[in-house]
Amino acid sequence: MKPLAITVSRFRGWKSEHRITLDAPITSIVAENGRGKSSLLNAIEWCLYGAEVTIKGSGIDERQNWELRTRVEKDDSEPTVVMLELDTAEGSALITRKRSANAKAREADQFTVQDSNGTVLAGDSAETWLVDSGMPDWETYRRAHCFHQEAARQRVVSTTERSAILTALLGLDDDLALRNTIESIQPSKLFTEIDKTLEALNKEARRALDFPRQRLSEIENEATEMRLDANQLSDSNANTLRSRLVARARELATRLGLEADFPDEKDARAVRDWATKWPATARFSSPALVSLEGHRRRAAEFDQLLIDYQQVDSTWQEVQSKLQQERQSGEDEAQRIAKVTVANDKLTEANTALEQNNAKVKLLVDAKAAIEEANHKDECPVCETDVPGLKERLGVEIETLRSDDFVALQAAQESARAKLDRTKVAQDVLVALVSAEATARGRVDEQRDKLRDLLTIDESITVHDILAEGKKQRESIQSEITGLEALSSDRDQRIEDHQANCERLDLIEKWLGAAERAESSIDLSALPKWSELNEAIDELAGFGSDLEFLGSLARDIQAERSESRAAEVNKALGKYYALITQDDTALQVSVHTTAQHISYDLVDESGLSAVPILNQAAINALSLAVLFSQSEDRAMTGPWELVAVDDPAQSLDSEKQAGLARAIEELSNHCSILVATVPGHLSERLRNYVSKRRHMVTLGPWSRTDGACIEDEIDL
Amino acid sequence: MKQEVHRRLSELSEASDKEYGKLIQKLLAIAFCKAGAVRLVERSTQGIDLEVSLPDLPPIAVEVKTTQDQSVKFGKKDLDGLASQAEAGLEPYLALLGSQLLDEWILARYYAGEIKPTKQYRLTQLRAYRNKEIENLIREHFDEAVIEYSNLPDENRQAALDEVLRGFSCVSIA
Repeated sequence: MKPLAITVSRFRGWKSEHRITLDAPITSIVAENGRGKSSLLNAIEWCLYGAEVTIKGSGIDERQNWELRTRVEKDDSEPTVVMLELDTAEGSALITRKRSANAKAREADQFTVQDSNGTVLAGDSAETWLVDSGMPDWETYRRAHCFHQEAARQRVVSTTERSAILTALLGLDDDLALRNTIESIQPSKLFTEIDKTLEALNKEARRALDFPRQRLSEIENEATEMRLDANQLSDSNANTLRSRLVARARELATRLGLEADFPDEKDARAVRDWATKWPATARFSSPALVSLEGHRRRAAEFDQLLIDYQQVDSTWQEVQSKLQQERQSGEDEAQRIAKVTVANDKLTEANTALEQNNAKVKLLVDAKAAIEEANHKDECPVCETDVPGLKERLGVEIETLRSDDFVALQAAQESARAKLDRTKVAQDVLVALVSAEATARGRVDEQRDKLRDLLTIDESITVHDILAEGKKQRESIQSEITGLEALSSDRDQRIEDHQANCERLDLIEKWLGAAERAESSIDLSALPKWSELNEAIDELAGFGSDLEFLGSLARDIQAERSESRAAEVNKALGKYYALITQDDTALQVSVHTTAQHISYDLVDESGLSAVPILNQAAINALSLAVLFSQSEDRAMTGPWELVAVDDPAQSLDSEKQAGLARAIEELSNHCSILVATVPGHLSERLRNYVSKRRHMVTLGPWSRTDGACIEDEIDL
Repeated sequence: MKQEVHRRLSELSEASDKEYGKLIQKLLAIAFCKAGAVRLVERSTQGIDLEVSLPDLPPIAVEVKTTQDQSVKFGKKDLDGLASQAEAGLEPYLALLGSQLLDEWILARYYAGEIKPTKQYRLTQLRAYRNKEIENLIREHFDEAVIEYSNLPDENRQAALDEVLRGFSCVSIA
């Protein structure tokens, strides 16, 4: 496949549409810097590879900061268009890449191919056509089909770049691509990932196995605390416990008068479900124990009544005793009343005697006063009888009445009053005791009636009989209570035993379950999923091993082919290097093969790396020689038949530029070559000293209004 | 492998140190015998470790390797030995056992040129060459052999296992 012409419009420095033919073996674009010659070479790259050229590092600043419309007016709305006319095996074709003026950064270009049949393919179809036509990828293109002064040094000096270019030079691109593809999958990483997965699985398996073991150990510790030894952690012991639980529960049910359903003791699950409910059933559903509370309440009632009865009875008896004593110690109630009356009479008498005495005294005093007033001396003022010494006698009599008699009478009165008081007190005591006795008796009667009601006995039974009957019945109730309490206590004890046995059974069942889990997870290989995983890992391992083997095979083949190709390549390399430099130093490609890698270098005759000792001009020449050797080889084997070199003469003296012109002429025997160069020795040599058909284009000065322009165009 | 087997092998590895590989070789030989081998040659010193004829299968030559770090390296002598056994008509195998709980025997078919001497191989890599039919034949029997015979006296462990092997009529110990 060979380009016949390029047409550019609004591409970098090129504004209006220009078409330049490329069908001659040599096409030279001659211009001073800044007139658009490099842009023409860029235009070919952009047309073929689009944005890929800008994305992938090429070592060329111009490409790094790709800007299609740098020098075109901002208000120009015309699209950027580059067209390549091609001569293909099937006929002529036209590749067009177009980008609108206002396209956004991520917007795709319009890429079309019109094939030899006139069919227009666009987008991916156009790209596919290009690939199917054998167009090399960008990486190959930039290494094998173009040369840029900026990248010339890097092509040779960078070990990686040099090795890659030499690989291409040796025609081992495909081998390298195969190796890169295989190694990019990194089978070793695949194995690492598998190992990591297996390691994680191993950890998980150990953890999964350790966990039940730890659980077993915990349960065994609990068992020790429950005084169960290791031998008792068995299925048979669990069965024994289940039988015991059911048997004892049956016994208890009989004792409690319970009609209950019991599980089949061989059905572990049924026993477990029943066993949790049984304590509540046994505790609250016993007909035998239902009366216990009633008995207790009745007993309490009895107790209270008997206590109350005994209390009032005791009080009554006490009062009775006191009353009896009071009666025995003195008079009865009538006598006491009579005595009070007598004492009262005597007091009245004493009072009267005293009052009479007082009246007598008054009379005598009045008489004496009257005698004194009348001065009657011994004459009685009443009867007027003369009584000798009457006045004195009256005085004595008054004195006597006022002193001795009065005192005697007053004492008699006091004595009578005291006696009356004593008699009254004695009577009051007796009255109070009689009243108290009546009250106490009433209370006793009341309690007796209550007791009688509680005992429900007939009226004929005496008070003391009632008490005895009450005590008897209380004892009878107590006897029942004692019996029921013994039953209740026995029930509680049995429930406690039941619960303890349940806990033991629970623990044994837990242990058995944990032991089964620990045991069952031991053989992971028996799990279907483990087999599936193993199958998958084996497949991955197989894939990884195949890749490793293929990689190693590709290395072996590449190493083998490297050796066989080296001689041929060295011959071409030597030819172009000698043509450019007139130097017969035998530089050659050297192959370094290790178990893992194959690398290439350029060495001198002594086998030492040649690059470090070369000057800039020699490096440039070597870079061109490598490119030309590669291009010659690819022209014979590959479909793209154009090499584009941009400013190749830089740092070359006139002799080497003359040599370069010879090398270009030699290369043009194998493929077309497009040379962009400044006016000078090389352009002069190409114009005047080359015998091959050539198309010479001279570019005029660039202007803001017209952009780049073709000043002269001739075919020689 | 079963946890019990793994535990016993770990204990055996700790107790026997450098002898461990040979003991495992003998336990594997016992497993082959239990699996019905009609002929078994076990070599403790020179030559390929095992030659085994199993019913309905081609005779095999086995180089046994155990590893604690999940990778193995083969000596040139071992691989040459397998190659010469292959020339003699036996199918050459590498029997590989790791130390992890989930490890099982890998009976990897040896192809000259694909497995190279002195290169470190992960067990994972060699899974690609495994013969599961033979692995399945011996798995259970190896577990049995370990459980049955790994409680060995501290001295003369190999001799004790040789004695067990001699009990099988198919065995010859070289």
